[in-house]
Amino acid sequence: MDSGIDLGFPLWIRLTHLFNILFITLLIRSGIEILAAHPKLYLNEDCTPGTEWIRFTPRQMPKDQFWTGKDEQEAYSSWVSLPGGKHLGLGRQWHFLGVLGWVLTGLIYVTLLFVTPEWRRLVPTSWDIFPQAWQSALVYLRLDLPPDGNPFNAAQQLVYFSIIFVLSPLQILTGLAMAPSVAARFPWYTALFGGRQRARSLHFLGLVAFVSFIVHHITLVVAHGLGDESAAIVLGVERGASSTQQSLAVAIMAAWIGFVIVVNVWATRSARHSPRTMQHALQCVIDPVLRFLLHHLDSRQHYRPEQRTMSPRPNGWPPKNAQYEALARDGFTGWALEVRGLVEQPLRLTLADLVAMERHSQVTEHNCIQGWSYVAVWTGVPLRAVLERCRPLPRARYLVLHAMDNKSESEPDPEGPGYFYETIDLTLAQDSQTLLAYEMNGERLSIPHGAPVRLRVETQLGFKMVKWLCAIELIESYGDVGEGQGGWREDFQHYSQDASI
Amino acid sequence: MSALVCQKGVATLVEVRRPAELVRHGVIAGVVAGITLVAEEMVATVLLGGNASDPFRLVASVVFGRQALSREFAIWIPLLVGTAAHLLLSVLFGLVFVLLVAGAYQLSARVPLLLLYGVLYGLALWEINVLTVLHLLFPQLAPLMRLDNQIWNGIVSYAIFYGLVLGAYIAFARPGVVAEWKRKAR
Repeated sequence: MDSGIDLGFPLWIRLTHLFNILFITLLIRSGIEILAAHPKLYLNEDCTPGTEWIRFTPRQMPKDQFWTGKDEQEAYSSWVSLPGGKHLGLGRQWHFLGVLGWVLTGLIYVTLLFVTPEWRRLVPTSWDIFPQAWQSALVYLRLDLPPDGNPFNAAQQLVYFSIIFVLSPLQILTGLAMAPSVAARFPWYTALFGGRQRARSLHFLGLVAFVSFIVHHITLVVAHGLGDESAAIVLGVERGASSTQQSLAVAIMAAWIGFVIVVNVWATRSARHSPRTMQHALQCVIDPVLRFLLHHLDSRQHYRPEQRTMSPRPNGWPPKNAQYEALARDGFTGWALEVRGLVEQPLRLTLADLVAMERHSQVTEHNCIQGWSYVAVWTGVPLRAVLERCRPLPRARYLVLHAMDNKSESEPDPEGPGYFYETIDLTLAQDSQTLLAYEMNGERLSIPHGAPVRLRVETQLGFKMVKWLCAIELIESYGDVGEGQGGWREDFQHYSQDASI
Repeated sequence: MSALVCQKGVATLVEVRRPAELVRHGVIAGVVAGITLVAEEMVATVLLGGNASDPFRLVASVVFGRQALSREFAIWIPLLVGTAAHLLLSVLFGLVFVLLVAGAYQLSARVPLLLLYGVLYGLALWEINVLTVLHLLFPQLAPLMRLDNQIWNGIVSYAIFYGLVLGAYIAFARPGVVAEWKRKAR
């Protein structure tokens, strides 16, 4: 592995190493927050309760009463999760900001690695690396240190190569495989990992591998000599650093770790105490990138009917009011969907009217923001057909979908007050797989799953697919609806308006 | 088990994690795993050509220095001090294991996972104790660490005969078992 060139530790390697520390801590802590939303991991797409291979909750869900996916959520401490305490919306946004920073740092690092001779420090050029790495490992086992390489010994080179060129890409690829828009547009891609739930499990194991690497890395830095190693990675002084240089390097590294801690504390406190400000600040950076990358993807999912989940998990408690109960008692014969707002022709469509319109069936995967999923057969009217009938005015850009459930009445532990609503834009509404579904798995939609009619937008996360639908309103901007964030969950749980990842 | 009383929301079964109960199980787990470890180390040392008292002398040398390794050093001192130090550390690390498992909500984890946690914990202990702490605090002992000794008396012993036993104990005893769980309204 000795190339004859002294590779050393140039400035860009030292800087990217420091920024990597910052972004990795944000990613790990916000990743744990996301895990807390559904602290169970599966090897099957159905996520049937009890089939998880691991769970991080002391809670066992009852078999003798109704419960929903939301009841499984845990509130982890802010010491381990960012921001902690069931703040999934902001946890996700911090995670995506961490991803942007980490991937950018990684791209700069890898680019510079290959435009300079520095790639030799990591990329093995001979199969001899394996026996050499084994010899280095044996030296470590004898409580000794292998001779320095240029700049790494074979074991270090192999481990760093694996982290940068195997584990890091795997984390990015499995993260993408969990995005509903990617899974909807490229179902084959998610299938490469064995499905969304296996991708989620792999992503978690990647997290464990990263944490394990960090612990071992720090241990071996101490074993090799904290002063010497710090002088190399902070000051670029490789061998024979003076004690002053060593002390200075350790002090700078300690100061940077202090800065990373301050950033984490600030991020946590701001998210907990000023969530709206933090939501807006994070969305300014994240939303344009996500919309550019994912929003234009249309759904092309075609699961086979026999792949449907036998006991799909519901989410959200059904409406608890006299009006809804009366409608349900009469089989929703008295129910009607109002279509109003910026349209040429306002509509009032009964369930019978919808059933008489263009009928479309699709077998798709439902992806909850919490992490669980299921596959179901959905039948209903393409929303496009309803829009063709009401003819949106040119100013109309968004649809507000109003539900019959008042969260203050229906939810045992509501995050906010008032009737549930969500918005989607016209592009999403006109996707070929965007449906007003009235059947699920060949039967009339059940109450827990949104009877009489619910929305299906297959490139989005489940919270966008409003259940117990009663009205659709076309608008120009959602700034004046509710708290103005684009939906009930955006208003009160600080979710992002775009739910494509 | 208290009655299910819940006007709003879901009543779920939740692990009971009483600190005193966890400490009791941590101590027992540590003692059981510690005895298993020392028994295996005595056998392994003899099979590797050493004396069954060597593990005790090694532990005692942490207190008395290299002289404890010598055959001239009275055997009863290493036996006494070595056993006491070994059991004390075993209990301490057993306690930490049980608290970690409880803290990560894994008391009710599947048996294979608990065994895996035990093995990984054993490896981590070996790495921290032998590779780092011993190296830094007792460098005089480092030259004694032959490769075969490290593999059998280090990795295998810590992972299988200490860690695995800890995991097996949790799987067997299940502190916070379902039968003791309480129903708790969210």
